[in-house]
Amino acid sequence: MRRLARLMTHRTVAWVTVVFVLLVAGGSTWLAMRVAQDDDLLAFLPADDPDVKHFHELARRFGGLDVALVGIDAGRERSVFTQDFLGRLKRATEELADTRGLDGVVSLDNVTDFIADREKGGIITGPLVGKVPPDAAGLAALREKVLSRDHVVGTFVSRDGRATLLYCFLAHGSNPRRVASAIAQVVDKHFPQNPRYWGGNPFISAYIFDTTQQDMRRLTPWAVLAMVIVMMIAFRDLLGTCLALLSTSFGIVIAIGLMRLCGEPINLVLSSMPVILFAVGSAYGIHILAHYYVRVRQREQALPGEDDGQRRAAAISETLCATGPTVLAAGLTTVVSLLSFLAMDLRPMRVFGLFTGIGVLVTLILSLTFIPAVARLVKLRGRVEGGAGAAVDRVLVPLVDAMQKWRVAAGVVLVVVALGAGVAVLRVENRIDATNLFGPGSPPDRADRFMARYFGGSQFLQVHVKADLDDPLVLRELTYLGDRLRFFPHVSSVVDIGSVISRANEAMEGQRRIPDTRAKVKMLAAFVSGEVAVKQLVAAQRRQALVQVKLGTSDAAQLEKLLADIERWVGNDRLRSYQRVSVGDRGAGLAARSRQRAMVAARLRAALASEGVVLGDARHAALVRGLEQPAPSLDRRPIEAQLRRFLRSQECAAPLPKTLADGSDPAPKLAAALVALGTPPARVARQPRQGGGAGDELTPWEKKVRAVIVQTLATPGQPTNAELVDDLLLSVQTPLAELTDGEAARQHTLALLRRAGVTLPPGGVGVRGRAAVAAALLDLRVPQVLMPRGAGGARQATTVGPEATPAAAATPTAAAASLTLLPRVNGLPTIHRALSRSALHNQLFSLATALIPVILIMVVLFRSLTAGLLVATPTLVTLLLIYGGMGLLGVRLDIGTAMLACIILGAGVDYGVHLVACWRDPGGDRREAARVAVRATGTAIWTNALTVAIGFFVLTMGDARPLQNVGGLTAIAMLAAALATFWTIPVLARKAAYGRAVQGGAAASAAGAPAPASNPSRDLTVPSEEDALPRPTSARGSE
Amino acid sequence: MTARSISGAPRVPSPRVVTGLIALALCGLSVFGLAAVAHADQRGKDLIACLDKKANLAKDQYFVYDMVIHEPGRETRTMVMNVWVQAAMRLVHFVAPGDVKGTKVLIRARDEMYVWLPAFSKIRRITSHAKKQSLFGADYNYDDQSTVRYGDVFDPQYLGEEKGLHKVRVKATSRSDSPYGSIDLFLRKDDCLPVKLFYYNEQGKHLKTETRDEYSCLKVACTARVMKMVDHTRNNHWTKMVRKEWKVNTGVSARKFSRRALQRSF
Repeated sequence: MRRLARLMTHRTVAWVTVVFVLLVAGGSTWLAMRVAQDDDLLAFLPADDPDVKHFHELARRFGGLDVALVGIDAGRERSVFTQDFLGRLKRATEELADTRGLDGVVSLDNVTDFIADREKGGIITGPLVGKVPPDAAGLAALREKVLSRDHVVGTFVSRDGRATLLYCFLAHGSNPRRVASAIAQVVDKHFPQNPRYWGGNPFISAYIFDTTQQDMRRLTPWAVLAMVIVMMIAFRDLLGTCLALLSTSFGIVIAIGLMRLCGEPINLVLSSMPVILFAVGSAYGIHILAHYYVRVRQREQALPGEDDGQRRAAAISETLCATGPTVLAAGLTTVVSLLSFLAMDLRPMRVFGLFTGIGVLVTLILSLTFIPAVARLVKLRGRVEGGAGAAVDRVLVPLVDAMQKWRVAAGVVLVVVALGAGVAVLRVENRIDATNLFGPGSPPDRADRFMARYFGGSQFLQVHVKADLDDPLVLRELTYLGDRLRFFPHVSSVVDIGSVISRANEAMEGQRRIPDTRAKVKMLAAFVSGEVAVKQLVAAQRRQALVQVKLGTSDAAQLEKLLADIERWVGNDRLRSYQRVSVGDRGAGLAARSRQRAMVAARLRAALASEGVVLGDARHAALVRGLEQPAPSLDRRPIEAQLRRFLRSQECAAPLPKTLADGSDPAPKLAAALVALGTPPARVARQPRQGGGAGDELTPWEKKVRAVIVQTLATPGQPTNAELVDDLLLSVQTPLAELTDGEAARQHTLALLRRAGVTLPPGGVGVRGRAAVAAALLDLRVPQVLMPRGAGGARQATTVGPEATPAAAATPTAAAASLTLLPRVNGLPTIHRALSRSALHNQLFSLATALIPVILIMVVLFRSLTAGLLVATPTLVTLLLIYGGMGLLGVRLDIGTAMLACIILGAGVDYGVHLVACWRDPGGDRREAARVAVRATGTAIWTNALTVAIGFFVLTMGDARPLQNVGGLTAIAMLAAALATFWTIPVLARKAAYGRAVQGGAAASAAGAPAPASNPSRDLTVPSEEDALPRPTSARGSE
Repeated sequence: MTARSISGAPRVPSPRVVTGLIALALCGLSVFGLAAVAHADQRGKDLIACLDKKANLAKDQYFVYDMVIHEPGRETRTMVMNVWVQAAMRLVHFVAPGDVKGTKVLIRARDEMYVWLPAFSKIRRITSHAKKQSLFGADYNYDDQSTVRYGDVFDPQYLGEEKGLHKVRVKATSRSDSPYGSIDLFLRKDDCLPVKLFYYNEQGKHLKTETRDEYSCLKVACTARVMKMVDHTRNNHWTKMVRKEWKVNTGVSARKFSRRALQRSF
């Protein structure tokens, strides 16, 4: 330090220093303005955590993070089923569909529906809403129709018809903030008067990022202004304050410029760097200047005729020698504390720690070089008269005296408080959830409440499954998984690829169920593959799937328990490994039949629940018993009517003549004759056939059908139209079989519900409910099921022949008769859990990493282990108090509070350094040493504590929840650290002086003490005798 | 030359005359403008008529295409399809990969489309609202495939020349039922064949860009070997059709484009 002091007294060196610093600062400013901005909030997830890795993998595969949800409340209209609202929804949906960055949008306006076309035949796949009816009756009918669709209610429209939800799927690589903004613009344009709610990752991350950025932009100037005012009141030195702030600003721009050089973008946490640096770093310059003013004043009084330049040079030299080590040590503790962030498992936090540490280091270096250089070149004249010092002394000196007088009592109180705080620390929860990121009333919170109220919640869990998803049996197993998950507490709905394939199959076969053959599943999967929502359910060439579980709670404790329950359940070995078993009446077959009935029962219960019909246990048990009873005999008349309609539809490829030779309509006659043939053979025999109709290739059943067609169309005296017969043979077989199966299931449903005493509500809900039950009952005809390995005699399972197993016949790999489901739970709750683990890990590791070097620096500075520990003790007490307070107040650990310990350690330990550095009485009186130290440092320490506290407190006035937490807690912590310093050290100090290295001139510089000239004795007592005597010869400059 | 009075002094035109002259000039300009617009429209119509004629010279055509679907962030998917075209009718038969093999799409007219799904042994009608939708996630929708004569669906307007190509804007008419508001076609000067098409919605937002490259001619027909459709709204999701085989005037029967044929192997 003496060498540096000698160097800085040279005028040339001072010029070079100033010019060099200005050039570097200018260059850094240029670089800093070009630093990239990283708005990826996912970077704040611990990358090595297994849950996070899984989350990222799923996000990449399924794009789960790319869904923006827009909720719209009908507002005054109270219903979305008005011409005006639906018209606006249509326009908004169309505009969103054409919005750049969006892969697609699904809303009430364009969600598809399947309805039977009675005129042209088949099933029409069309928009559920379609053309908006102009009159009230039409709108009422539309409302009833929409609200009868279980896959629409609670997903696109609320059960009361008051609110609607739009799903906007972002295209791969889109900027979520930009697209979120574009979506908001469109929706705002079309629904300016309606309450609107923005949910999903793009909106939430945009909100968090924008709010934090806005807060930092808005509050940083105020925080800096508040700090300047406090400094001005304390030191009454505008120039010095500005110079200190300037050197801190240089520290900031140089750190950010370095980031640009390293190619490191500025992240969300780094945006708080200016406030932290201004709060922490500006003190160093103030310390140097305050001491410099004292020295100048002393020399003016002692040597009135001294040359001005020589006086400044000497004052600088003395200041650096006396204050330098203390300022350096105080700064290094802060740097080390910030560098301890490198022990964290979050990259953005490591970057923050590294570059903020560099910023503090640069500020520290500038305080010891640039500020003295400016002082050497420019005549700075700060006021050394005490400001608020006298008042502070009047309070602090008696307090310290009292601590010394009643050391034991004060010590006991300290221990009790520390122990109490220590106990309270154990109550600190490290549970992170959304409330850590946004507060009540914020847009994401409002959206969360809106979703919970109208759409069953906004939180999702995903069960990740790896399996052959082209296999109908696997899809049924997936649906079974979902049907049971549906009845976990707080689960509001479950969606999986099986349900999507079922819906698509409704358009093909008229039944909402998983088709029976692999070929059908593959074809339906290919058809729905272009739909944006499907991409979130299946990936990796249909070898991986997600079961999306919507949760009706956002409460962290409930989510945690539910997550654990589901993980335990899904992790059950019985769910992991399956084998294919034929249904039968003995041994493994009987067990398979039992499992099949259980699956159908679960399906019935879930299907009815999604229609709003919740079965009690008794009713459900009655339904299960009913499944064991045989189906009623089939009334075929309805089949005849339906087949007649098909024969006249456009989907019947064979043009049936309008009349027969006798003038009658051939359709009823043919339909009756075909139905009279009886039930078509089991689905196993119905492999798709294409091509001609040569008689010798026909199965016995086909021969019968062909004969009926020939007989019906026969015209006496005319040859049979063979081509028409073949076309009809090809056309009618599938519809005849499907209609027969469907009608049988329908009649079975009515009987089953009647036997179980289940009454469905009238109208659409009842119709859909019965259709869902009928579709489920068709699964009882499937000849195979998957059995968990080792369950119910599954070891006896055999590979079954194609006659009994159409699925197996269509599945070459089925011969292996074994497959595996690998379910794993993922979703936001697992991410919260990973973040909680990370917060605790980071808290402990960074604190340990910082604490040891800080104590080492203290030991080196004071050349005493005791002194080092003494200096660190107030900070440790502060940490206990703050974390104990968090435990008592229910403030939870999160990423922000994980930063807190290091900031408190870095900034708070300074107070102990300065107090102990001035702790000295030549007479060996401990009490006098305490008084000397308090008079020398009290004002400065409290000024600094107030400055930092006010600077951070301003951050609590923003909207960003993390900033509020960090700002408020740091503000309190700084005041607590100051108080702990003046309580702990007087109680624990056992000597009248500590540390040879810093004793002496350091005292006057302590924490920027202005060392008021109004009390000359204080001026003379603070510096060491050696340093206090002006020695012009030692400060010989180069002027 | 300035008009002079009998006395030789310059004659100052009365304000009424000036107003009349200005009005006359404006009328002249507007008439000229209208004529120019009319001329442009006529030019556009001629070019589109030329394009439609060129595109429909062959009695029938048969193609084999590789359809490559590229979705950013996902695996690229390739499908192989055979396409038969006769007048406004088109039959698309997917032959690979396995999960779509056998699927056929029959377009008999812009408002009459069917799909055959072999696994279900069924014909399904495609309703008109679905025209904006694509098959198997491709960027070509049903409407793109069913538009064979632009003049029947759109009103053309000539916009001038750009980079050595005619630029014609065709706007959807009320009768067109097109999912697009307008399309800008860049036609080659020598044969009016389009090399680039910009698709816009009704608000004029650029949705897609189609390029048609490597034209070649066989008998009376000229077609592009490579066609690529880029959907800008989906972060440049694209679909490329690469012609692998091409026959012209094969004599295919009109029965091939019937519903009956869909379910049979011929």
